[in-house]
Amino acid sequence: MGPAGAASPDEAERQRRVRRSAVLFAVIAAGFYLAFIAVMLARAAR
Amino acid sequence: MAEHQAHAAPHDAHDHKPHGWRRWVYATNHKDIGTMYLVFACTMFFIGGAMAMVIRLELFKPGLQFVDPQFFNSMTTMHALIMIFGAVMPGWTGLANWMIPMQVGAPDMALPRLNNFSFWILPFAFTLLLSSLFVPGGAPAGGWTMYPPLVLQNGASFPMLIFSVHLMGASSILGAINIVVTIMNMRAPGITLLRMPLFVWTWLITAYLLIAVMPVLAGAVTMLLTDHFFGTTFFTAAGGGDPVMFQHIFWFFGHPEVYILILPAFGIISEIIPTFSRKPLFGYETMVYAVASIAFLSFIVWAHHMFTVGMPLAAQLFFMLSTMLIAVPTGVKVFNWTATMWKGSLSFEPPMLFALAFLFLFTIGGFSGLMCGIVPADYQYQDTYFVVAHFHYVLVPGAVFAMMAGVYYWLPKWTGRMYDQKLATWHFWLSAIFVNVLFFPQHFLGLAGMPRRIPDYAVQFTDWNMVSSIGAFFFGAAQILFPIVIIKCIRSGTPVGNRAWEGAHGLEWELSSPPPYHSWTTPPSDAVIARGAEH
Repeated sequence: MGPAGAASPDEAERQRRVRRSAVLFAVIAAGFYLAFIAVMLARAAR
Repeated sequence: MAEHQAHAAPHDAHDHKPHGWRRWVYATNHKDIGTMYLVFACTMFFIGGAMAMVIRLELFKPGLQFVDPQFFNSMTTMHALIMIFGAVMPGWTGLANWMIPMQVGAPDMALPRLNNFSFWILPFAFTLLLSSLFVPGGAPAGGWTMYPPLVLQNGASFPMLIFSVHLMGASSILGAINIVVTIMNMRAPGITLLRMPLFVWTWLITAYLLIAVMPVLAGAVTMLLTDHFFGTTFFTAAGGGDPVMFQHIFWFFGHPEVYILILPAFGIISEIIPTFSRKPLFGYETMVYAVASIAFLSFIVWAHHMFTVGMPLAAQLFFMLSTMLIAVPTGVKVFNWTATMWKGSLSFEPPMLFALAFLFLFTIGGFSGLMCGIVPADYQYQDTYFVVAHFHYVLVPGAVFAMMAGVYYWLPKWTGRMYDQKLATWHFWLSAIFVNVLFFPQHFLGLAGMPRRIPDYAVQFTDWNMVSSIGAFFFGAAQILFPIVIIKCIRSGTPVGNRAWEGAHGLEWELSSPPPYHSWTTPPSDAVIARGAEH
């Protein structure tokens, strides 16, 4: 997991999965944040 | 035994840790970050506790004695924010950091630098929040729920409150992402989902809840900010907005938040009771499904916090009935813990004492919660001390006792030393007695009609307020024993073996005590997993 040294193929694949899932959850969190504000804006515009 | 000693030996050979302040400021090791979280939570627990003492001192007798009403309201608001976001949540994250990698056979958290960032946001967030005590107009005083329009009347502390809540939210979201990613990607081969310890399971579900609801809180407070400074009217009736909508959004976050505070406690109790009953946990899979059900239901009950704002009867019935449903999986859990103890070979070391107190007292908090969930009854209880009694039973002998149970359970593993169990037992009995003296009379006060968040009250409430305050002072004083036990353990505890408790199972007990700085750099073997991962 450390920054030093080349990762094995398995390790590289795991690092890819870690990055992918971290980004996915960050996008979900940001989506919830923006969605609630968007819903309120839509409601206020009615 | 030989196998895990053989495993520990090569670690010890390269067990280099950084020294000095860099070890902590640049920390990426899950154990160091876990320690920082726990120290931070403990500090906040005492700061928030000191505020509780101010509250109970003022309420010792009717009339205004020590503080003015504005400052009193600041104390109730700050006490809640500090205890929820500063003590309980970081406490759980500290335990997660320490234990999850060791319990799933991972060398560290999946994202160590993000882990460092998640932690180091918190001291800034709480310095900002606490420094609002010194700005013109004083600290936020509109309640931790931040309801508009009241919260918009705060002085200079308002933007400080909003920004600090944003920071706390960011820290929680990043921490939660790290935990989900760790559990989903870093488990050792052979640790399937249904072989994970219950503490890991409860934290996985908690982390999903955090990712779903903390952004909602951030969205709500952002809208408050724009209402205050940028002329929007999301929650201002005069501009076409709706203050009640804030309550809906807040509690859409707020009710899952309640489970964020308590689900890891369920995990810890599910670890401790089997250990000190010397039996496997009764109904492991049903426990997992019960936790998942509770988490799901937590999203559809939010409006039971606001029955009295005026909502359609159909909505009241829906939220009342969905609230009642939560009793089912919760009952399953209490049944399973009790069944685990049934015919077990019980012993009553400090972690087990705290776990048993949790079982009895959390259940009392659960029952009073059901009472509050009944619409017509809630019209009587709303905004009274009955509600204060209810959620303090859930959070103090519930979440806080479980956290103390967890610390007393794993402290020998972390330090390699056994603490003074006699002193810890004193800590337990003083806490267990005085927490009831403190909070039980508040049920009577609430039923008699004493409103919450007031610095003064009618004279007929005097006696039970005095009892409650005396309980608070002794409970507060008893907590000083907690850091004393820990410091004494670190300095002069008696060394323990890998498996500090005779009945303990789990991968963490296969490591040396204290565990090597870098543990499970090679995944545990099938034999170690089979021995360690018994539930």
